[in-house]
Amino acid sequence: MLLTNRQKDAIAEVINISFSRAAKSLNELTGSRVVISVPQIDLIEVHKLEETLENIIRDEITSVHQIFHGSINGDALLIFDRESSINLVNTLLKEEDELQDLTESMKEVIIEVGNIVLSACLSMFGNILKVQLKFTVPKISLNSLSQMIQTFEFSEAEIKYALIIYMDFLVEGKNIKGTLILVMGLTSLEKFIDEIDKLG
Amino acid sequence: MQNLQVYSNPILDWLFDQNYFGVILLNNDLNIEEINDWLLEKKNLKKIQVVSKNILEVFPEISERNLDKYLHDALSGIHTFLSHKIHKYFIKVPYLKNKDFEFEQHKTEISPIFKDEKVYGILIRVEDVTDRVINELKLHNTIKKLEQTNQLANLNIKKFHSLAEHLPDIVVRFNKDLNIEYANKRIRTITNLGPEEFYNKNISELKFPEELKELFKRELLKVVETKKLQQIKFNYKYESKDLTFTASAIPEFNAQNELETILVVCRNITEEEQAKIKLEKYNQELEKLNTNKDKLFSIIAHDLRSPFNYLLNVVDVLDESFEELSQEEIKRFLNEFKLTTRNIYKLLVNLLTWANLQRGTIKLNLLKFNLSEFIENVLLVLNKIAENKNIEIKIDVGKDIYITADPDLLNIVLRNLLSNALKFTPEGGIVYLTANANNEFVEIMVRDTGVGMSTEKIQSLFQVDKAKSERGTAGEKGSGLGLILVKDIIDLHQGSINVESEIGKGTAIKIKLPKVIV
Repeated sequence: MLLTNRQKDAIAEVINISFSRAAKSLNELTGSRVVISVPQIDLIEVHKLEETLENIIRDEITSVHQIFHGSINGDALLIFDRESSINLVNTLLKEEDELQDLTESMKEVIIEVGNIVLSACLSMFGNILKVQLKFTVPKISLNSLSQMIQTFEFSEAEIKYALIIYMDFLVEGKNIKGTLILVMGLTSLEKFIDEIDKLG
Repeated sequence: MQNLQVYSNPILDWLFDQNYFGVILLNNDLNIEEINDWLLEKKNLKKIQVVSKNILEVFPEISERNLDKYLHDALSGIHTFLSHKIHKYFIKVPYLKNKDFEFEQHKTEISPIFKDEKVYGILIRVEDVTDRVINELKLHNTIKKLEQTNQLANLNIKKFHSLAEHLPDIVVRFNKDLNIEYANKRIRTITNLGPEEFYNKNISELKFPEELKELFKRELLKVVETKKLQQIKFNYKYESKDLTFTASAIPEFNAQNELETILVVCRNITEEEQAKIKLEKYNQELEKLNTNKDKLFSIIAHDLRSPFNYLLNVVDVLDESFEELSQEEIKRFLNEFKLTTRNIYKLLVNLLTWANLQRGTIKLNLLKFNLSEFIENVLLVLNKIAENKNIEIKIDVGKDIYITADPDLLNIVLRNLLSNALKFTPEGGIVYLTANANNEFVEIMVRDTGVGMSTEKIQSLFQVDKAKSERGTAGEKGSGLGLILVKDIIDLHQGSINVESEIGKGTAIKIKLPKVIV
C-alpha cells in the first residue's frame, strides 16, 4: 500500500493541527517556546521499519509507547535517539546544570511530553474516524530499535503498516529530531485513509 | 451519582488496598467514588468526609493551578501523565521528612475508565517520588562535583606538564610499581630516546646501567616504604662525558593521603661539582700561601733577627773594646762572626730559593751529570763543619751513577740534608751518604747516628705551619725551612722523599729521583 502525495499532504495537515495543540500545551507547561513541524511522512510495511529507521537512529532509542484500541487498533510511539531525548528535556526545562544521562525524573518528563504528543495525535485520529479511541498508560523504554519493534501489539496474521511521521521539535531555537510511528493493521489503515480522502 | 458496582472489579479492589501510592476513583461528575487510606492519611481526612464529594471541592489546589483540565480531558478519553518535574504535584501533600521540599513531589496518572465505549469514570494514581528526587539531586551534585574534580585534575595535569616541560631538570613520574607515567623532554639530555619511549615502562626495562637502575629501584622503594622524600646523587656517563646528578624522589599522595606516585626531579650538577672541586683546590692553595706567608714572617722575625742582633753585639764589642781585647779574644769573636754570617747567608739562600719556588718562578734547569763528582763539590763546604764536630762523613756512591736534575737545586737539597745530619749528630758520630740507581730511579740516602726523631716530629717535618727548628747537638740554630725546601725541590723533580728515624739511634732520609723527568 502506498500513499499518494495528496494523501500525504492531507495527513501532514491534520497532524500539524494536532501538533500545534501539543506544542501549545508544552509551551504552557514549561514556558519554553515550542514549535512542532512535520517535514515528512512515510508509510511502510512494519517489517521494513527496522531498515528504514536504522539510517536515522543508530544509537539506543528512547520511546514512549501507547497502545490504542477501539474501532481501530494499533501502537503509537514517539521515539528519539538517546542524545536527542536528553537534549529535549534539558532544553524544555531550561536546565542550566545539565546532566548527560537520563534520570528517572527526566524519563518521566519524556513520558509526559510523549503523552501530550501521542494523545493529540490519537485524539485527532478518533475525531477523523468519529470513534472513541481508548489508549493505555504511556510507557517509556530505552532499548535498541529491534527490541522496540518487538514490543508492538501484533495480532493475527493481518499485515501491519507503520505510518512514520518525522518530526522537528523546535525548542528555544534548537532543532530536536523525533519520530512518531503509528502501527496499524490494514483494515484500520484503510478506514483512516478513507476518512483522509474525504477531507480532501 | 453512579453505581459503584460499575467500577468494582478485582483490579480496582487491589489498587485501593495499596498503601504505597494514592488512588482516587471519580465518577464522570468528578465526584469521589473511592479513595485509599494512603491519601486520606496524608491529607488528614476521613473517607466519610470525601466520598461522594466533588474532587475539585475536596482538593481545591487542582483547579487553583488549572489542572482540572486534565480531568476533563480524561472524560473525553484522554489519558494524562503528569511528571513531578513539570507539575510538582496534582494533589498537595506537605513534605515533613526534611526541608528539602515544602510539598511531596508526585507523579500522577489520570486515566479514563471505559465501559461500553463510554467513559464512566476516572482513575487517578498518585505516587510520591520525593525521596527518589532527593537522591537524584544528591547523585546529580556528586556527579557534578566529580566532573569538576576531574576538570580540576585535568587542569592541574596540564599545568604540571607545562611547568615540567619548561624546567631545566629531568622530571619523571613513577607509579608505585615503578612504571613510568610521565617523563619530560629533558630526558633527552641523558639518552637518545624521546619521553614517549619511557611511558608505561618499568624501571627494570630501561636502557641504563644496571648499577644505576638498582640504585634508583632501592631509593624509590624506600619512598614507597617510608613515604618520605629521598635524595640520590649519581654519576652517569653519556656521550663520553662524565656527568653528576642529584635527584629528589618526592612522594605524591591522593586525597585519601595514600601514596600514589613518585616524582623524580634530576638536576645535572656536573658544572657545580667541577666548580666546587676547583674552589676547594683554590682554597687549599690560598691556605698554603697564607701559611707560607706566616712562615716567611716568622723566619724574618726570629731566625734572621736573632743572628743579626748577635752580629751587632759582636761588632759593638769589637768597636768599643778593640784596644783592650787580646788577639785570641778578637780571633774568637771573628770566628763566631764568620759562622753566624755563613748561617745567615745559608738561610737567605734557602729563603730566596723557597720564595721563588712558591711563586712558581723557578724553572728546572735540568742537566745530566755524574753524582759522585757532584757530591764531592757539595762536601767541600760541609767538611769543615764535620771536622769541627769530629764527625766522619762516609760516602758510598758509585762512580758511574749519572743523574738528571737541576744542579743548583740538588745542591741545596744535599747541603740541607747533610747539615741537618751533622747538626743532630753528636761529636764523634758518623754520617753516611749513599746512592743507588736502577733504570728508573736514583736513590740518595743521608743517614746519621744522631739523636733521632719521634713519629710525630717526622709527620710535621714537611708541613710549613708545623715545622719548627730545634737546636743541634752543639747548639746550632736553624729555621725549620730546610726540609720544607728539600720537599718542594724533590716534588719539582717529580721525586719522593722518605724519612725513617728512631730516637737515640739516628735518622735516615731517602730521596728518590726519576731518571727521566717529564
